[in-house]
Amino acid sequence: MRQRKAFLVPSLGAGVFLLAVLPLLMTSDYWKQLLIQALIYIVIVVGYNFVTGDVGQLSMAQQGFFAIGAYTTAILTTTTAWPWWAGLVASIVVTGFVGAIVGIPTLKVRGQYLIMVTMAFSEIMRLVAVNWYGLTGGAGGITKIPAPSIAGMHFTSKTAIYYLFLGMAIIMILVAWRVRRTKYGRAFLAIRDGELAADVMGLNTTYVKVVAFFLSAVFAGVGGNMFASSFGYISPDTFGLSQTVLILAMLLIGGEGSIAGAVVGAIILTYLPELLRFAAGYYMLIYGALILLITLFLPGGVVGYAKKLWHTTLAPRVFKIPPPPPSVYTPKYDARDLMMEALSSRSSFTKVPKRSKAVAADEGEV
Amino acid sequence: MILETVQLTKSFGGLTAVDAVDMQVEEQEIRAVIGPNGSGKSTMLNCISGIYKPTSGAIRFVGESIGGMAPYALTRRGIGRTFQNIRMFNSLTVLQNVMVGRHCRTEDTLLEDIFALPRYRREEEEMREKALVYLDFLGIVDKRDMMPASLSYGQRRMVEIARALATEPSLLLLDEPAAGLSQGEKSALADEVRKIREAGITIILVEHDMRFVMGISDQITVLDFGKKISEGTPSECRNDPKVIECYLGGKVGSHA
Repeated sequence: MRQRKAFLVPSLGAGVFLLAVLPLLMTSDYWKQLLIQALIYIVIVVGYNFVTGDVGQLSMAQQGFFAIGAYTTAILTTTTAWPWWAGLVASIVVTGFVGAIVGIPTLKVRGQYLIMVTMAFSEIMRLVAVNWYGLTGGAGGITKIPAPSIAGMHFTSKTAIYYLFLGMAIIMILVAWRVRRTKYGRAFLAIRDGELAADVMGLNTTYVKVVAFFLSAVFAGVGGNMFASSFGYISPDTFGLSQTVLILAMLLIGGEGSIAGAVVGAIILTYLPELLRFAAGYYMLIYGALILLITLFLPGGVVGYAKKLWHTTLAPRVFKIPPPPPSVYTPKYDARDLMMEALSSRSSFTKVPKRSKAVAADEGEV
Repeated sequence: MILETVQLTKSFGGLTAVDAVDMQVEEQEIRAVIGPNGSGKSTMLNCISGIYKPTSGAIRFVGESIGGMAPYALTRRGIGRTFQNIRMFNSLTVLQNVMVGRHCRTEDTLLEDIFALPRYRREEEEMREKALVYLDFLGIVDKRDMMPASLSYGQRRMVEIARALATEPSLLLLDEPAAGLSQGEKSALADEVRKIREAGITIILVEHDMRFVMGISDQITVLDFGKKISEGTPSECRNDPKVIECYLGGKVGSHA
């Protein structure tokens, strides 16, 4: 354990230092813009991982939520002159609300039907953006979206925006990391592993899926706000089907079901086009082949493969981990007492105490 | 009476898998439902646990009509179960599997969980402790941090029972609990089942292993082709000519 800490602390420090100096190493605004873009995609894909990675429901709606988040901020900060942070809050509330509302009917269907329904949702959002000229500016989009600002601080330079977004991305990653450690995180995986068993264990699976969908939408809403305020201009072109596929590809290549995977996938696919720039016309060919190779040979994505490598070959050599000591467990309660206590909490079987609460909970929590 | 089925019928298209079965189960009873393959035992269990909607007839659990309710709602009312083909959550550890069973007894919300507020910490700790107690009760607490895939079949079965107990059932349904277990594991299982009953939990089990059934049950319900053909104590059923006929085969062509 101490060995691990001795390794972790300096590497974390190095990571923070690297992230801090990164924009200073990038000389052109274009490369700084790519850094910002990577952070936006990180937030979106980490959110997407809830529903498609953890719960295993292939959703194509993330792009639609991204669009709603971007347009909410864009409209409110241009036409009504709301401050940036209010736009961010509005984006979160609106996408979260839409996510829950859309999730309730759509998540009752599975597999290819879910793909179709969610894809239709994203397409409808794009078409609304094209056609509701009065609100969205139609195909021309919305221009002159103000840059982020909080309490008089204006984040106009790319470097400043990078630091702000880095903070936001870290917060969102921490939120995702927390969710993973709660009963919700476990419930997500339980549904992916066996929906029927999860249902029989008392999980309202539709509700749990809606929670995942809601979380995904909120993350996309934050990403939308980041996108609109950093680019200053949005149009429906950005929110086409190809973006939906890009977000899915990011998750698959990074490693679905893993936060680190979502982050790594977002970074790889943000920079890959730049690295393949030399290939010019062959770019899409190489890009497609790479995705194919990764999905074929690295089923857990890049991060899944790295983890496997780490656990099987690297970690034992680096740490020389001794076999875990035989675990001794002294129970805190007597099992029989626990069972009887649970029964008596329902008093006599003729009455139904606590159960009336459970009825209310049927609509409610996990 | 904790559970009652009245004229319970479930048909799939033209096939009537469960045909007008009346059954009454008393509190703290161990009830076995037996019968040849395809006699409707598992279908009946699936109706009681909400996986199937009965075609007609009623199911009453502590006086409340529960026919057609969703499985999770029934689990919250106190009906727990295991599966014939063990269904583990394979990306969760053994301990986490059992903790999932207790989720339905917790009330902390998503926001409390994300910010690790006191109620979350209390519920999570309680979930963990109680899950460990059930694992200990079933003798597999030392496997708590392992993945289900690395356990033996018998150990996974025990995890599944621990997970069902964590839902805090008053009625526990066991679908072929002894299937695939060694003789030693079977007798250990029988002991556990008795202990669970002594704690006040009613048990309905579907089982093929006659020695196991005869040794453990208070009452046995015998199904054949979806119909109840006999009911009574193990010795009554053993000597019922209709039961003997359905297991050993009666006159040629009688069931063809």
